Amino acid sequence: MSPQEIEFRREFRDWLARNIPESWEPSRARGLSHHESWELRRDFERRMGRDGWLGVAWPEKYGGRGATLMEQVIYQEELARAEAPGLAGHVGLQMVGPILMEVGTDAQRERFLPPILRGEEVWYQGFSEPNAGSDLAGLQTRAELEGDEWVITGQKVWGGFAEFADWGAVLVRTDPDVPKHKGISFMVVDMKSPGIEISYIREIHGGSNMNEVFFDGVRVPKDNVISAVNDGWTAATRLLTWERGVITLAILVNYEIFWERLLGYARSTRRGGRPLAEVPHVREGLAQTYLNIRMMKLANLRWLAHYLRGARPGLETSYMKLYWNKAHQSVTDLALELGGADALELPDSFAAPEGAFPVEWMAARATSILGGTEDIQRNIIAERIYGLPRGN
Amino acid sequence: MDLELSEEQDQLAQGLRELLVGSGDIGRVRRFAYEAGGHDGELWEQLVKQGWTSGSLPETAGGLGLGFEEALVIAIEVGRAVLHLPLCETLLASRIAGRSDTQAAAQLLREVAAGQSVTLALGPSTGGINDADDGVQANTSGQLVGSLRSVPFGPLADRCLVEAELSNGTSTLFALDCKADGVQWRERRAMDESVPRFDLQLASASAASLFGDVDARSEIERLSDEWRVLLGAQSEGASRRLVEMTADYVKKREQFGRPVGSNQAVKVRVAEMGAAVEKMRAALYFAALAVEEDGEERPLAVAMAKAETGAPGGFVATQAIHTHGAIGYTWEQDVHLFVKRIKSNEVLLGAGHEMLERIAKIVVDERP
Repeated sequence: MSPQEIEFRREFRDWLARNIPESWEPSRARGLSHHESWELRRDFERRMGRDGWLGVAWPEKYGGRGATLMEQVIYQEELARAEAPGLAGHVGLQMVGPILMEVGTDAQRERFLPPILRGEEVWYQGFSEPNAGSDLAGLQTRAELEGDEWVITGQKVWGGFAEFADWGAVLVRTDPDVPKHKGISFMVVDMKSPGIEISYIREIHGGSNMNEVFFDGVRVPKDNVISAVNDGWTAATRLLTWERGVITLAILVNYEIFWERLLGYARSTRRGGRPLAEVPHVREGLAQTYLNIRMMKLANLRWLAHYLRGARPGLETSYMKLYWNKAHQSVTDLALELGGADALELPDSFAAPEGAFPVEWMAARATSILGGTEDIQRNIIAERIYGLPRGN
Repeated sequence: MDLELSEEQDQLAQGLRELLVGSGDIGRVRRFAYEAGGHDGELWEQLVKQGWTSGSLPETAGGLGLGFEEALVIAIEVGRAVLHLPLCETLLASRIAGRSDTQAAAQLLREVAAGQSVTLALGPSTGGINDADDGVQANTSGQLVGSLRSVPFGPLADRCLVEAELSNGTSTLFALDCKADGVQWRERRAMDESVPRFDLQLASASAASLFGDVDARSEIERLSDEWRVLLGAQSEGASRRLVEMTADYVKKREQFGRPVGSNQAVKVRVAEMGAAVEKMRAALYFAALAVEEDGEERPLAVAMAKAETGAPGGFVATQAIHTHGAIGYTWEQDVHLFVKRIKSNEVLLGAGHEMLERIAKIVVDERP
């Protein structure tokens, strides 16, 4: 790590120590509903924007810091390490912003980029639909041109923050008569428009972070198309590759912290007259889950080395997704097993480590599904890396 | 190397691969190791001529002075070719001899530079053999007495580094002439016939200590750690080739009028095999860096690499047999040659449960 990168880490760590609100209870927020702590999180995020800690990866000409890839990794690690409030702005910062810089018009950039950087406007990602999950390109929400406006009708699902969002980045079908990848457009939708209805999906742990969004004749100005009409698919896939790639290094820190909590629990909890940490099977489990988490990190760093040499994220992100899932699910499985009776109840207090065990175990079920299921990743590896024939 | 090969390291791998494939590849391994038995002197000569056997010798001793990362690269190719010669062992022996300044060490370096091969015989505690096994003792006049089990290549190598206990209770390594008086080898039939295994019996054999009468336990530990990584590297090379062979096979093999590889159940197997192999590679690079640094991370990184190439290697091996169908169960198909190397390396110098316990000792017991 260069002196500049070390300094970057120190500077950000200090800033976080001074600025994370005292009333923030990180363990309480894990897996539960975003909106419970909404105002606190928004304040924190605006403060980040004010002090230049949002969009560190953005080029300087768009108001970012032009951080190196290594600094971006450090940034994500420090956020996770400090257990800072999760950023509601990540859709804008990591997805919409970079896409606008690449294919947006000057007017779109001027309108949308600055408020993202200031932490003022929140974005909603409207990609998946009830019938378009793994087969995202099969999406059916349609937009028809009427004069100077697109009129959107359909339903989106699995995105978050819809209720609080100012803008939606939404994939819609603009041409039903061409092959499915070629008739999709990427649009900016004012989320306060008439005709938008939002509901929450309750997750298996009881919390609600994800929305269903219904569009009934929602009108969108013609200029709100990002990139060309019917050219939305390329941008969307680029964005998804990134989502399952290096960005997972940040998520990984959460698993490291979780593993350490589990270790603390195994050391301090006695069963059958000895600490759990002395039981051979438990030791093997702790070693194996440590290995899984560490290997996820090493594999990510190996590919990061490629990107630092100028390669773009590609098919290897499918491997990363598999390692990610293994790391997360194996350590939460072990936690539930070791926690025994302690881990079966949803506790009032999250202060004890075992408080997080059942919630995190339930949350880990999502890992093999989100961002392209494990099964889809395996298909990609088999067909596109090893050249196996496509299915019938 | 920063968790990925440099261009030079990549070229090194290509060079060795060309030589091994050009010399007959798997067909040669079958002919020499599985059918004829004995030492393949002709191929060893070629390896000597191109400088591979002296790769880890310091430049002052006439070698290339390659580091451990390069040894790793070579070991991956050894595994990929299931090479039937003690190349990895010779590299490891020259590395440890290069760290000593005794006459015996200098002598061994000269012999390797002259094209001699070296194998390794570690004692029961370091070698991961049963406690009940004998070891070797050196009496006060420096004569070796005792026995060690399952030494790879045995008398097919010219020299053997033998771990022995001195009368003062310390341990060191002796450089033994494999054909010296008092040395007896008994061949055991090995599952992996490309690495023939021998029991070593020593009845007053003369040999010189690489470290004089200084306790060399930490050097021996380091040697065994380096060996673990190179065994893992061989398994990675063999595993990667198995995935390629398996993918090729399921693309060609047809049932129900279509390639079996178009079935999703088969794709899942191939994808999981590929995922295992890529993870192994990351673990090995990390271990190689830790070995090169020789800092406090070394024991953990080595145990991780051995564990990550162990059971996952076994997974790739068994899936390769299965996915080839009945043909994968035959002697004629090459799959079993790789499988046997992988499964042998998995248990040598500490199987998975031992490596996980090593990891647990460090991360569960010792860390604050």
